[in-house]
Amino acid sequence: MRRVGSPKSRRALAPYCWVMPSVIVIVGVMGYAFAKGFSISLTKWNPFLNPTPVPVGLGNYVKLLSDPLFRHSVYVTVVFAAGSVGAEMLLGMAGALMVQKLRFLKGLVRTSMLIPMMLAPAIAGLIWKLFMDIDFGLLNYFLSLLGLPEIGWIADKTWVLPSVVLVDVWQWTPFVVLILLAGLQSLPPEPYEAAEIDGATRLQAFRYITLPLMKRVIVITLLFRTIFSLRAFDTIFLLARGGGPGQNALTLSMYLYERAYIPFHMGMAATASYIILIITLLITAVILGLTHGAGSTE
Amino acid sequence: MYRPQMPLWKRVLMSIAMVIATVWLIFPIYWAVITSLKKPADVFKLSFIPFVQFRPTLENWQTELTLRAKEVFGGLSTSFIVAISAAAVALAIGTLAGYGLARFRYQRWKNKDIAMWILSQRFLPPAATVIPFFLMMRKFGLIDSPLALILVNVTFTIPFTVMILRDAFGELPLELEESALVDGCTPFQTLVWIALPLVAPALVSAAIISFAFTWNEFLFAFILTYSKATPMTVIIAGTQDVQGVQFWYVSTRMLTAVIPPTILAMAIQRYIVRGLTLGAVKG
Repeated sequence: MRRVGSPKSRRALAPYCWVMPSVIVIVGVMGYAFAKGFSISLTKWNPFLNPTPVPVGLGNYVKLLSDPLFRHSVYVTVVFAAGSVGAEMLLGMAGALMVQKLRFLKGLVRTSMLIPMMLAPAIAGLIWKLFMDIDFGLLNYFLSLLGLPEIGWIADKTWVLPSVVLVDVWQWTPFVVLILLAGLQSLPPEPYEAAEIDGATRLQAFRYITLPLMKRVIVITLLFRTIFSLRAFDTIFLLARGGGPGQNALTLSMYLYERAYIPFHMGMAATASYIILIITLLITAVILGLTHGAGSTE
Repeated sequence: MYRPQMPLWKRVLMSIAMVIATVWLIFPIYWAVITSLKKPADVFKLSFIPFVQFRPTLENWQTELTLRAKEVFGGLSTSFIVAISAAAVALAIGTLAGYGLARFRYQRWKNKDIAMWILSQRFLPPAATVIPFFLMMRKFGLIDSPLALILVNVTFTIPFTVMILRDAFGELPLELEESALVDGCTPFQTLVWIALPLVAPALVSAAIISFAFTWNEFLFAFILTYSKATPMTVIIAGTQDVQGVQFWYVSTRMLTAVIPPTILAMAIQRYIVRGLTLGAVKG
């Protein structure tokens, strides 16, 4: 204990005092919520009609998985996540490469990228909702300036999901740019010098040097964005409450809120939340598997 | 960096792309600013340059800060109280854990496992815990109380403070702390008097990230409060139902909510990547 960082401390328990407060808060709050949620998911319970939960075993899980609307919302969630994360990664990589090459105003560009990220997602949803207004919205105004036909945006069955993806891309591409930029700036110069001597093209240098060296950072970014887009709620809630036209933007979080929480089907809501968690874990595992665990924290 | 000279046309094209991207990022905020300065009659005329295309006015701001002051200041003060308290608590206990993880080697569970465990709750979908939270807060009578929001947000932001400070302490040289221990300081005194002042920038960034995160949180605030303790995000999200297309009204309100976290974030730009990736990527 006297020596900082000594491998064997004299009083083995003392170090635990340091992490104890954090652990207590997390176990007390998240652990409790997690366990409680699971026990609720095994019951049929409407706190306002029947105060005592009725145990139904895995009944809620069976019911949810056989509900066509629920399956539709799984599909919507996957499309939303794949579309927004895919666009964010591509645009983010292009953006990071360009910002890195900037000679002037690099600071200004980096600062302006903080703005979407620091905007509460709920407020971002609201501001874009105003932009997407059919009659008074700016987006349709710009379309008409360009001589293009106007679009129904979030009021249209086909466009509601792309609209929600667009807002997500607006808000989170800068996040991807900043992380990838940090990764690019920490790359060693030697491989590039060697490539220059060997006469490699810029594209070859990117493909055979930048991509492999950036793999860890890219995987981490991909994981972050995927996990957070699977759990997105605020923006979609503001843009397409109730799932939007034709329920075409009814992500799992929205399903949980509209179909279970609002009608007080607590058991169903808790079940939906566990299924969201399982889907998140599955997709995370798939990403990690495909990239051979390159994204571990250390 | 491998940087063969690019042809001029490519550089021009790239600059244009950068300008468009930057405008695209800033535009919504710019739009909110000019809309808040327009007379209602000018709002739908789609003009973008004040003084040239329309005459700016402070009327909307005056209305907002006098007639609607009670609602706005109520929301702002709740947001400030909750965000500052949550950041302070998360910083205090996160600093302890961060120091512990950086300076001791744990036997039973490895340091990495403890850190991973603290982190992993960040990845739970919030929708998965909102119902148990609601029931828990109802049991304690904390519905519509700032305390509930503080507790929830402390839990959510602990991972940020732990990881940022663990890395910051980890980068300090051991000698100073060792000599303090030799001179008879307890480990806790060493932390307070020697290590903390040296990691001041990391402390500030951890506090700001926690603050901004709490300030912007919506779902839990929406579920756990309904009148007395509604923070700014919830009030603004409710504005649209009542006010329909009164864009000028929404925009003043939005700006009041956006300014604090944005300005704070700009102050800690250097740390933001590391902070938001929970230390996974060094910025």
